[in-house]
Amino acid sequence: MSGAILSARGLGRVFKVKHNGRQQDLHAVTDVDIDLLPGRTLGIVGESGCGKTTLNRLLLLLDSPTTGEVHFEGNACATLSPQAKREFRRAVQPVFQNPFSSLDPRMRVGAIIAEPLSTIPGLTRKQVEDRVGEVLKAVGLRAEDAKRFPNEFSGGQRQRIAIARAIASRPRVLMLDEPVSSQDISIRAQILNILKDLQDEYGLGCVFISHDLATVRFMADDVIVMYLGRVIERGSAEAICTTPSHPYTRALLAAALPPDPDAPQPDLPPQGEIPSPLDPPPGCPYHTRCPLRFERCDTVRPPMFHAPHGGMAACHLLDPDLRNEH
Amino acid sequence: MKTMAPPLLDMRNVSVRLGGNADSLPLIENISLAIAEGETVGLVGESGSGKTTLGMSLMRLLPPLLEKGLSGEIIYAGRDITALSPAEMTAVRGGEISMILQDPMASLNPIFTIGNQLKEGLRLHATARGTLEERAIAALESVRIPSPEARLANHPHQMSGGMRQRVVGAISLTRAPRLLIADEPTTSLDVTIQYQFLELLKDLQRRLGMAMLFITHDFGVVAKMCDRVVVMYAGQIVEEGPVREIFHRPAHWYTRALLDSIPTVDRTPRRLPTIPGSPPPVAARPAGCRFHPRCANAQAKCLESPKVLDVGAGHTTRCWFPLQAQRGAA
Repeated sequence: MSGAILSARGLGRVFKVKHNGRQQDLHAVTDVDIDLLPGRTLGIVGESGCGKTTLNRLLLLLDSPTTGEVHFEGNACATLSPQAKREFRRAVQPVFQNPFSSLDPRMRVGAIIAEPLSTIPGLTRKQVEDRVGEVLKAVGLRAEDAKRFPNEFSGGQRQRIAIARAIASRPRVLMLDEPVSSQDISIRAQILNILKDLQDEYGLGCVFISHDLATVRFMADDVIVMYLGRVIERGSAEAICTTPSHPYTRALLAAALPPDPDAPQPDLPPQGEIPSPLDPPPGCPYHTRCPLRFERCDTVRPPMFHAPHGGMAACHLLDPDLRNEH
Repeated sequence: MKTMAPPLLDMRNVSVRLGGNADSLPLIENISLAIAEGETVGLVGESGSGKTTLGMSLMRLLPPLLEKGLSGEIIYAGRDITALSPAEMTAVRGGEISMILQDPMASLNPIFTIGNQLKEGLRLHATARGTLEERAIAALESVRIPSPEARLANHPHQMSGGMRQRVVGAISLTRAPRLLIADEPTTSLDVTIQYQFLELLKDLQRRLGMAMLFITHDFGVVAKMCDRVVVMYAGQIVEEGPVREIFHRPAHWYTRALLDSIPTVDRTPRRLPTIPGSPPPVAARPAGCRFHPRCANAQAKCLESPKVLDVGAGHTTRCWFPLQAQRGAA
């Protein structure tokens, strides 16, 4: 945990839900460890039901874990004093997927961006106004735009406003949940570049949540891959996005269609349906869809093993004892 | 080889305006586009480029105000479908030409079972053999839905998104259409489910020999699925050509810039090349070349509307100064 700004140990969240008339446990996130270092970007990759949004909420302290802990600068977040919590709210800022629902349509852009500044005591009105103008320029808009309403802006411009709000309080961490998924292609590159520039300028740590390996490769230094609430592979962005070990990550890579009609056919194309998180399969959570499954996968959940790419993956095929057994 | 067989679909100078006046705002303008029997044509563009309007005009499903503003000819299998009566069009729709939309929940009725909705289409197809039940089961099998007998009794909400989209596929293919219009059919699906749906569509297309107009904003999907690509920008076709030409030798600056701005798993540039600004809304489309305010190569000439230029075999572009890289090698 040395030097991590934001980290998690054994993080889990169980929701009590009523399904088919009976009370059931939904394990949205199970046993997740994370370390985010200053100036680094951690990519979180997964599809619907993998728990990435719940994990995001847990890391933002918008929800409390059932097990495990979130640490901010080495201190357990569950026991933060009110002042420390206020500092957390200033220092960890979210940007969400859809800037049409994340900006209050009745507030002027200036007021939207100034809102996180209320966590900083003793700022004068002039200081707030200057800061709003500064961050608007930092995301490629004009200081005068503070007077306008969100509906006067295009989708790409709105996402810039959401980013300006996120950086206004000089945070140390940005939590980015699919920030470009709802944008047009010509706008995506603009937003991704702005995020990278801001990260360099402010030394921000970023958590970048996405289902797209290509975008994650561009943004992230380290990557975790989630499936049905668990981390099933972790490693450097290069390792995960080019030579992944886990069959699920290999299926994700096959599904990240490159803009090239002559791209080679993938070796392990995806198959099968994503199981319901309410009824996860026994053994390896991926065994119902895995083309490489063997007996052990049906009953034994694989622990993390060292992978050839230098990271870790939860797949029995990486078990060094496998060869001795057979 | 076939020699100059007439195309299955031939759109000639099709425009759709907001209302019947010749000077009212056009959503799409002078679209000429042909699709051959069995061919997959990708229609790519950003939001507001008019690609959905184009697809809806082929089905004659435009809202009344736009329907009034439809001009030009849409020749399908030798007949101009803009001249068909509503009854004649109903026979074409769902039979000859079928459609899959982005959101399967908007295509399926939540209060009827899957079986009920499948049989509705099957009943119209009088020539086929077997009971309705058997044919509905066969239709679900053809889109690889496991235990189809049990699924017939399901309501849409009891199925996953990928499964629902396959049901929509089964319904739109029950009458063996010759042309399928797929408007962003995988945008609402998870990536691994999208991959499987695309494979399924490709396989069904091969088996049924149908042509497909694949509307999408995703160049990865186009590269996987299409024979030919049409790029739209602000209501016009700006480039058209065989898929390899478009990806390896794009002639329009917009196409080139879009392709450059897409991140890929094997490249890690410090920054991505970008296109400044955003696609113009319909009411604010610039004069001359529609792309010139955002183009890296804009010149004084670009204030005049560019003509469509031939730049290779079956490859055209609407640009005064097309990119010259390695042309003629193909």
